[in-house]
Amino acid sequence: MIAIGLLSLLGILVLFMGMITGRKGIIGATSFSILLALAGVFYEIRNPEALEAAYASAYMNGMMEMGTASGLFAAVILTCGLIIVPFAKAYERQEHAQLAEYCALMLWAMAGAVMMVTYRNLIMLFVGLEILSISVYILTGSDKRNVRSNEAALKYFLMGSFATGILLFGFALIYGSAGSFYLDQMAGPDLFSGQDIPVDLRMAGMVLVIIGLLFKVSAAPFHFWTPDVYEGAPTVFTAFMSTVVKTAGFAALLIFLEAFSTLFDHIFWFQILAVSTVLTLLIGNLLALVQSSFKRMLAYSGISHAGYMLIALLAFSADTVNNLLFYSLSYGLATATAFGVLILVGNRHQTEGLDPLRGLGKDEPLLAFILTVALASLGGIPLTAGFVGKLFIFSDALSNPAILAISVVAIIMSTVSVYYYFKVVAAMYMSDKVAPGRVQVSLGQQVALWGATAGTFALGLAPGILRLFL
Amino acid sequence: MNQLYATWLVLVPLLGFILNGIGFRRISDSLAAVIGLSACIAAFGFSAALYLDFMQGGQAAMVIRLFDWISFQGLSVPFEFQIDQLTLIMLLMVTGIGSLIHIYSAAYMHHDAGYGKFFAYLNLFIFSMLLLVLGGNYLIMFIGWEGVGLCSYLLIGFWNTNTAYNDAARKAFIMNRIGDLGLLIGMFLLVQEFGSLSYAEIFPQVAQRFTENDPTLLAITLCLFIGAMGKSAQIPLFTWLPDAMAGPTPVSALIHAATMVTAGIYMVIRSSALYNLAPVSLEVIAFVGAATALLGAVIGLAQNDIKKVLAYSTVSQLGYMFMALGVGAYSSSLFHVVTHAFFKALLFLGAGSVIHAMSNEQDIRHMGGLRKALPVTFFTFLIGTIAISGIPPFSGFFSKDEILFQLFLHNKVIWAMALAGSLLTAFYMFRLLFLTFFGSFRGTADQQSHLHESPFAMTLPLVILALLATLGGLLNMPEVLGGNTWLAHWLAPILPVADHGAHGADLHTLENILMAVSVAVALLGIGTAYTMYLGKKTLPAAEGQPTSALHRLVYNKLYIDQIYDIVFVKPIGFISRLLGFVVEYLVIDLAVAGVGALARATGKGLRFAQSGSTGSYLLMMVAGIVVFLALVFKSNLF
Amino acid sequence: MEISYSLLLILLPLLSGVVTATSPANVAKSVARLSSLITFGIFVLMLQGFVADASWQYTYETPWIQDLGISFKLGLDGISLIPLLLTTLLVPIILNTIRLSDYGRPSVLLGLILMMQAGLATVFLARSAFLFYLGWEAALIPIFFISGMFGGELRQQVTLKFFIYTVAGSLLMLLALIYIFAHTTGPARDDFEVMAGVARSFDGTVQCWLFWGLFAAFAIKMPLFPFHTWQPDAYAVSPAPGTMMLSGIMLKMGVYGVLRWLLPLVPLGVAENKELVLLLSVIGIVYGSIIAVKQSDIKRIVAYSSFAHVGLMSAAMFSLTLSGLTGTLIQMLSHGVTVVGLFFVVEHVERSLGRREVGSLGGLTKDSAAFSIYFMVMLLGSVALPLTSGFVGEFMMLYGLSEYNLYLALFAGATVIFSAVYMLRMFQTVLLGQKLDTDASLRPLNLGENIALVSLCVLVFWIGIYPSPFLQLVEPAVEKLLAQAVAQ
Repeated sequence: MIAIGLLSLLGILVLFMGMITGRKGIIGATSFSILLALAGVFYEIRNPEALEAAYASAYMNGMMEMGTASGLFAAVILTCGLIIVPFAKAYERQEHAQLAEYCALMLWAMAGAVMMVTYRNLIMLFVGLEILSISVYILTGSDKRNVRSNEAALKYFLMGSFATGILLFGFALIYGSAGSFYLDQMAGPDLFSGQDIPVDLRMAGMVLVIIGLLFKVSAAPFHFWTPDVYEGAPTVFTAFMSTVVKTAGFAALLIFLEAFSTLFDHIFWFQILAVSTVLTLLIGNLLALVQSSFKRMLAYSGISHAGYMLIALLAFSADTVNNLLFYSLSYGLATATAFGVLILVGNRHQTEGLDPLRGLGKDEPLLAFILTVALASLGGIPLTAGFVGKLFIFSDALSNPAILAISVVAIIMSTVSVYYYFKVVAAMYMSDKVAPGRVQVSLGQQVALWGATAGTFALGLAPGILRLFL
Repeated sequence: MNQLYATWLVLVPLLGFILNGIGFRRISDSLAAVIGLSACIAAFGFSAALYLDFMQGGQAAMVIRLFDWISFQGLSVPFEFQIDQLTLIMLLMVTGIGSLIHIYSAAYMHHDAGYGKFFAYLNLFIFSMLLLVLGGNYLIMFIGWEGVGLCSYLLIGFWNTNTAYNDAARKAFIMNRIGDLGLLIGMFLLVQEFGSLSYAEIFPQVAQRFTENDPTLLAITLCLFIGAMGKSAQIPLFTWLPDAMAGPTPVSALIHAATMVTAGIYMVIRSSALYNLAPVSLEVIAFVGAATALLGAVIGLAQNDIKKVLAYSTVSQLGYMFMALGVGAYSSSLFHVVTHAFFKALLFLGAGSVIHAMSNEQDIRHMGGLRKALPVTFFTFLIGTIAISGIPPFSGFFSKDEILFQLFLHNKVIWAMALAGSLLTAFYMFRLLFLTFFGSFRGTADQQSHLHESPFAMTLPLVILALLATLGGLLNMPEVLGGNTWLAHWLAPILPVADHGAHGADLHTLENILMAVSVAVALLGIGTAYTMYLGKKTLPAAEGQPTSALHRLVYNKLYIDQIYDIVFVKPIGFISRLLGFVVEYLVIDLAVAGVGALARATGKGLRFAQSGSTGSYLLMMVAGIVVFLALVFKSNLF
Repeated sequence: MEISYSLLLILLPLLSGVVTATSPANVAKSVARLSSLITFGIFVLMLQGFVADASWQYTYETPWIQDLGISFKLGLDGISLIPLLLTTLLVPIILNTIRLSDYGRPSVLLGLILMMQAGLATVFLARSAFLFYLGWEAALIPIFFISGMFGGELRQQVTLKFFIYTVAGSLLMLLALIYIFAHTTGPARDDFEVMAGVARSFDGTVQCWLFWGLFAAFAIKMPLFPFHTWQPDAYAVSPAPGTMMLSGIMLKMGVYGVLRWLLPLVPLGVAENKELVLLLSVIGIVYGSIIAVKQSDIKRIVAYSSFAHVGLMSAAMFSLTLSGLTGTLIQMLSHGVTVVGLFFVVEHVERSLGRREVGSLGGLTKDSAAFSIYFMVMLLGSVALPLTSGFVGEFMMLYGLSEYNLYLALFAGATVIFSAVYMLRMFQTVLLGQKLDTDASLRPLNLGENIALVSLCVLVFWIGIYPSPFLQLVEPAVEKLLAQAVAQ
């Protein structure tokens, strides 16, 4: 739990630093904090038992657990954060921006996200989720002078609260039928009565929890908030949401499902997830297809990728964890990069449609290249991480006849996705310049972008390199 | 030795083509002519050498295998030559007449900007024609077959700034290609049956594999005949040949009269082993030939372009050759091929000489009385005309008469058609002769002042060809007239079944009677022409002058070109546009675009759900929750 | 350390492509030419050591994604030999036809062509499924940029359409490959032989589905009727080097895909569906030929002619006869050579006169006799005159088809007639007749262009006159393939 501790403490430090130094150095400090947390995560992955034995209270007596899988999910989350934070740079020059607050909130949100991937007790899931959510509600509305930002925050808050309510209700039902919040007792008998029944109650609770989490990962039909909120929020925080929140949500969902895997035949939740998967794929891709704004398109693309991750969950095999991890990472790298470029380019021009990107291939060949790689990865083109991620998921899914039809839908929707991603590429390389002005890229942003791009390529060419981190 | 000869025989014209082709516009005209001429004459020399060698070698057919061309399991097509009696006759004819025409061209094409190019093409043609007749299997023959087609295309469109000429060239190539497809299919069937395309392997097996009129054999022979139809301008693929007269006149003489157009006949003779067992196919050939012979002759009656008349006469004469093939008289047919080559080359070259003298005028309505200005041309042209009309003792008489005799023995209907044809032939040829060389000059004064006999290089070939046209009959002089039918005997080793029934004393009387009949018919034709054009001094109607419907029909070539245009060319053009612009864009592409549009439309439809109102979002979420719970608990519900 | 020739064939173009794309134009040109020539040289070395049997040679393998059992396996056999020869041979020629001054950013163009070569080489050398797929897409991306960045009017729409159409096909193929893959086991389970073994063990229904999945990609790439509507537009819009790469080499990916990844993998599916495919192919031949007759854009005439020719290749392949398959391989070579030549001719006319509409040209033979000769030779190869490259392939293909069904061969043979119709019309409209406007004339061919065209002409005649070496090289592999495709 080094990461949670570090993130929380350093968040406070960043806040104080903001009071002292203003906006200067905040981004560096935040990045440094994330790096520290990341180092902590890896330290923990390598020595899990020793730490847990020595500092049991830090793990809330087994309410949290930092295994390899959880640790890697945490690492993915932190990596996404690390890429995104430099893009808050624009706030350094804005009068009304509270950069330190934003950064602190991001750190805390990540602390909540790490909780969500390490929970072994539903309480911790709830706590993590709320820390994350509340931070993100605030960040969404951080552009106080922008009506759309305010509206998005309010919308997100209202709907998020509703989803949290559902989730809580689910917890209550489960607790009522299991007598415990501990995951390892989810599949066991009712601790109050000592009997397995009423199973229906636990089932109902489980469905409600799944729904609550599907809301967080913006899977259909609980995705409605996503496009509006993503569009309304300042782009940096949209990027943050669509990577950090989604990864945390999926990890939490996976851990939750695993806990019940011995109790229920997975056919039971397979049905609802299957419905959600197909809807998510269709809605995400088809709506992304008709967007003219790049930002809104990325929002729908975020929904569509939830669909692919759901397929990984549907397969629910021994490889699911790895597949989901890899996919989250490849998705996170590409999405963060895409938003990053959008932030940079959007700055030179106040629209967020495709116009600022037109002719980018001639003006800023490097940025265009980076965005192209990211979009190719999102579209699942070989040589990039996105392709390998899809390959992992599909080769697991296709050995299961039940998922065959869904895979066909997914593949067809992939074609659609290639269209809208490459429409952007075409705009960059094949049309004439519309937006005036040059793009300013800070060192930190360059490192983030190139790092992510290199990662995308590395994972696409030799996914085995991930082993180096274990 | 003969391998060396055969190889060089083929290579020398190719070399000539390459030298002249690459050196075009860089080497002088005289050098170009020397290269072209010597290549062709050398080829003649090699042919003669091959002939001598063949005679020394005991007249045994031989196959020369050079290398594997297309070879894979199941089919091996070597690059091979076969030298036998048939090949040698064709070789000598092609290179011999080819040489004469090369000599003629050296003078005729003088001052033409494409002089070197012309000789290059001529050599390429000789090369292809040699491959055609030398090839030891159908595929090598096919190389030559298509090669001469290409040369024909290049030479018809030689003056390529003229669109009509280019169209004529294109038409020739395409019509030939239609026939070639038939030939290809025939070859496929042959391979499937025999596993080979080599003459030496196929022919000995025919009798064992097939009974008479076996359907496969009929298919093979008919397909091959389709090829022959295209190349030898038979109905329905004959319309390209008259148009082919757009080429320079020596080309018309060499390619479109003497050699290339007889390739179809050569091929059928070559395949006689197949045709002998396919009487039905022979019947078809006979009728197509007869129809073509008559049609050509009829159209020839009313043409006014000196070359067009000759062209239709060629079509008609080719019909005769096919008729002969159709009754199994292969050697008679070949005999006519040879004599026709002599007199038709002669006639075309003579026509060329006239055109040369008339400053490129080709309409006989503007000629007349040329015999004084062009004595050599007139005299040789006269010989050609008499020969083609079938008057003894000129070559055409013997060959045509032999054909008529064979026809009479086999099929009287066809004989009657052929006889009618020869009446018409005599008429239109003498019409041509009279209108051109007799009467008074009808051209412009300018043309008259330039009238002159052609130079020696042009008249020499005329004289030689006139000699050949006169004496060519000796090649296969029938026994009744004291001959020894040398050609039939020469070909006997490879055409063992030909000419049966033509012997026996009782037939001799019949033969004599038939000869008398055909001569009488020819004389009738000549007489009619004489009365009409010399006696009454009738002139063909000028352009625009009202004429009878029948005359218009014949004058307009029975409107066959127009019919083809309406039945084939226009519909294909229409279908092409229909497919290219309607089906392509409005059906297929729209269907493809439809998939995209459907996706888009669905996306737009789904967007209505994304109303922006939190209330409705929550409502839909609740609906989702209800559905999910229902899905899970459906067993409890029902 | 031993150097793998196969690996070099991929890495050399890839690396030099990156170098080329980022250097100044003149350097780029030298680098590109040199590297493409060296690549060709390496391939010639490989050819010399190639043993004409059905085995994999010049193999190279290394584990790749070990978690999934995905391997990186390269190898050369009689079937991949031909498209690879075509690739290594045509790229230097195509590079030679590029005039730097014609393009905005020539280095990028040259670099993209080399990168595309790397992708193509990967496709043809791949002996494992996902490497094949990787190459398949890696060849597509550069051409997307070549067409989109350097193309003519409407390039954005047309390129996107072409791209999406192809991607749709390849994703279906990917699905089929993954399906087979998901049923394999072992450390290198995407190996061609392993995949084939598993795929062939599926029952007829599954093989049918797999057939359509795989076929979708190949049919679109070739393209086959009615999946072809991207093609004429893409050919017309792409810059000449792009069109040459597309038609000369890339189209062969589809043909090669059928030979390598369709016929041996799902023989039951092939048996079930081949009639339909044959029908589509033959319809395509006639359809494309007829359309070509009246096209007014000479680039589209060549495009439709290419479409018709590919239909014949497809028909010949699905006739499942030895001559059909061998003929297809020879025709791959021949078609590549002639179509590149023809597109060069068209490009040269357009660059010189600024237009390429039938009726707006004519009489150009006056400007350059050499140009007319080049054009004529390419035309002859394309209409399959004997002793030119086109004839050998076309004869064998039509013969193979006739072995399967004579009537199909008859309809397919329409190409013999129609190719003459549209090609001669094109020849006439461009070169013959009166010159329409006397000011404009063909720009003179430079040395590089002359070299390129002479090489193409030599190839046309070489393949036409002496195809035996090629036939011998491919025969054992084709026999093996045939045995696999018709077994069971």
